[in-house]
Amino acid sequence: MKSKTVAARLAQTKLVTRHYHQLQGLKQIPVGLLFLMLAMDKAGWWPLFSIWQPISGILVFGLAVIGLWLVGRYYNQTLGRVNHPSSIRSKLAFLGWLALLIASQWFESLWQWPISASILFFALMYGVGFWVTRRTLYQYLAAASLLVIISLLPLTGIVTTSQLFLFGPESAIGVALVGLIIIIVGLVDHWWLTRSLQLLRMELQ
Amino acid sequence: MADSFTAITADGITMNSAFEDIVTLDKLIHEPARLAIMTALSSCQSADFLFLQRLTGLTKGNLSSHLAKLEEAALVQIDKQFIGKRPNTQVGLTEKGHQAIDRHWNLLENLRQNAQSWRA
Repeated sequence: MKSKTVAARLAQTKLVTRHYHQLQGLKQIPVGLLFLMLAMDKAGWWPLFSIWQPISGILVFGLAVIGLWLVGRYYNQTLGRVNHPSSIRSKLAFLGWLALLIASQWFESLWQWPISASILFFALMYGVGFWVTRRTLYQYLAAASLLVIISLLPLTGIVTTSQLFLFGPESAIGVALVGLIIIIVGLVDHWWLTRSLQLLRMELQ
Repeated sequence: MADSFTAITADGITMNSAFEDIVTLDKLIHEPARLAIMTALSSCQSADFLFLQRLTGLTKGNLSSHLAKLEEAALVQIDKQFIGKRPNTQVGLTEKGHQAIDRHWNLLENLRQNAQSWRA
């Protein structure tokens, strides 16, 4: 066995194990669907959602949580479980992202920038995702690049900033685009995880 | 082959230290399946039997056998538990296991660097 192949295989093994939860891409589908449902509501294509508020909102959110739980169960039963030590760093990172999301929404509600801060927030998330996975998961780079382009669209006049402002009433386009990107990246993550496991098995045989 | 021979005569000290590295490689860890298991476990707190099986493609019997050898050498710790009604086997590296795999990677890295210097 060539040493380079062995080194590459071991690096891939580490990457898959370290980012196993992140790579369980089917978990992103309920989240993406939640965004698409919100977009449908904002576009007025799902009037029942507005009539039944707040019950319909709680129901849709509850369905997304159940979906997440079911997908997690599927991964546990088909690909197994990996436990990572819960670190203060990861909890702080989560709180940091939450604070950044709220800050981006707050700034955007105060000032109508020609660039969408809401969409840039998601671009940053995917960009960081690409960086922490040692720049190997190009789906994150593609998603980040696409979101940066979308965030700049108000400059061209094709859409307005308010149409991309996630918490605003006119943001059907922005919410739908983010939802679609979350679903597509999730599907690619799942494909990448299963393919990597398959390749690692084949190389070991 | 001729290149290797030239490398020995031109840089005997490097070759000698490289051979020492090869000799000191831990055979228990260097076996490909066990190296994959140890590498995966070094990147997490613990993983279950199913994940290690999906990662290595080993049969249940073979994986159990490899894990038993690693456990015997006190490199891994195996915990059997129930999640709901299902039995679940969790495997994690011990402190000795962490040290052993770190040392093994360092040796492999030294070997790789030495091999590159022979070619140069």
